[in-house]
Amino acid sequence: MNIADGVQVVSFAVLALMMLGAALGVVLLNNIVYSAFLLGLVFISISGLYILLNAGFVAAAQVLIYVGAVNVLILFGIMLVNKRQPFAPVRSAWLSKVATAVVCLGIFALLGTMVLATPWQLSTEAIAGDGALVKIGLHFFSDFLLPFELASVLLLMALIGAIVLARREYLPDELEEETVLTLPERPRELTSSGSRSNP
Amino acid sequence: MQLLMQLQYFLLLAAALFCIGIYGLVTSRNAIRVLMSIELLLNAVNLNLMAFSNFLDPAEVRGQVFTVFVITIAAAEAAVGLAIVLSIYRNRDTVDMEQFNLLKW
Amino acid sequence: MFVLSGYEYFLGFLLICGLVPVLALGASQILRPKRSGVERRTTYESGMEPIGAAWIQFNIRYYMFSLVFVIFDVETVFLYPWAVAFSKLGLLAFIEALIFIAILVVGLVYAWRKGALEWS
Repeated sequence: MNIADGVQVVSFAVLALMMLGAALGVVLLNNIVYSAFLLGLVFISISGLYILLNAGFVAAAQVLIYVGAVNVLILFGIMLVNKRQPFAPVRSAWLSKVATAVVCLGIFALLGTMVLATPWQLSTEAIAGDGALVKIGLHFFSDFLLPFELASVLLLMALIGAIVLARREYLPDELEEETVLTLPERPRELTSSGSRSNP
Repeated sequence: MQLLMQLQYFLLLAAALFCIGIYGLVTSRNAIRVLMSIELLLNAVNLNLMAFSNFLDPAEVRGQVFTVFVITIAAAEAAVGLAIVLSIYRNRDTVDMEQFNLLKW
Repeated sequence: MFVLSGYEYFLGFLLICGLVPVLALGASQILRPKRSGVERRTTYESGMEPIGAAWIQFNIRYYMFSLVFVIFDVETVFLYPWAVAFSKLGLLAFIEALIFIAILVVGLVYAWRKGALEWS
């Protein structure tokens, strides 16, 4: 094993431990703000694993979208519903937790056995590496064209749907602030809005 | 077996992340933590796809294309899911999953 | 097998960047006087008296902005490979990308008309 392989194995081990620890923190910690920050750590570790898998562009996309946008969105969501109340206790909550843990370990054992038992037919073709970005661009406009266009429709639906769902308390707020805005510092708006507001 | 980068390492890691995500999804009381667990699940799937892309289909990187689509869907899911949680929070004044029982009997 | 080039510099950069905060905080841990008190535990707000707690309920407009940001962030990720592979793709791909952008511009116009882009 030469030094490059050693560095890769060590990087993989560090990233894997960081990812698993942070993921456990996301689901087990009581404070949800810490969970959200650890979720960002999970995303960053996965981005590092993508680099180990020769995918620089997707690693950058992971950081850009997950860490830069989705995690920020989740943090804003937490801050919007931030009401630190203890939830009402449920009867025998520990039983459901233990049962879930057993089931999850069972799923992991099943998946692990399957992964280790399957004879993977590894490809011996040349790895695209840095050329993968151009390949992705060509795929988008040849055999993945329909998903590419549908993705924009999906994003449009998500944008409009989320605005409609989240906007309800936003609308009266806005109207209220419009009446406040009729008393601004700037004198021209004051005269025009004042003449309008007079009966 | 040599201690090099192997497909199985990544698949086992993704399986572990998936199981942690399922545990969080089932046991969480906070609705936002449920959304975060779903993000963990989607990331585990992405890691699988990227591993397959690198080891089984390295020339035509279809796994990476799939991953970009999954990331898109995850972003849309986070946006709409959080909007739904905010909407529920306005109506029920809580984010406790045990309180969302209008459809339960 | 790892085929990407230039990432050894990235790794070195990452290690040095990781050392900086550790060294800075460790050095100040060693050098600073060790006194404690009520004043020291308060939040530092540029010399002002802190008002309220740090974890307050945010305004929903922050959510609106980050929502629009997420959607157009994803659009960037789709358009970047198109821009890189532009010379290999033809006019048809250009029209298809324009359709992609046009569909999302509809969403931008909707968000604009509904006031999601205004702080007001």
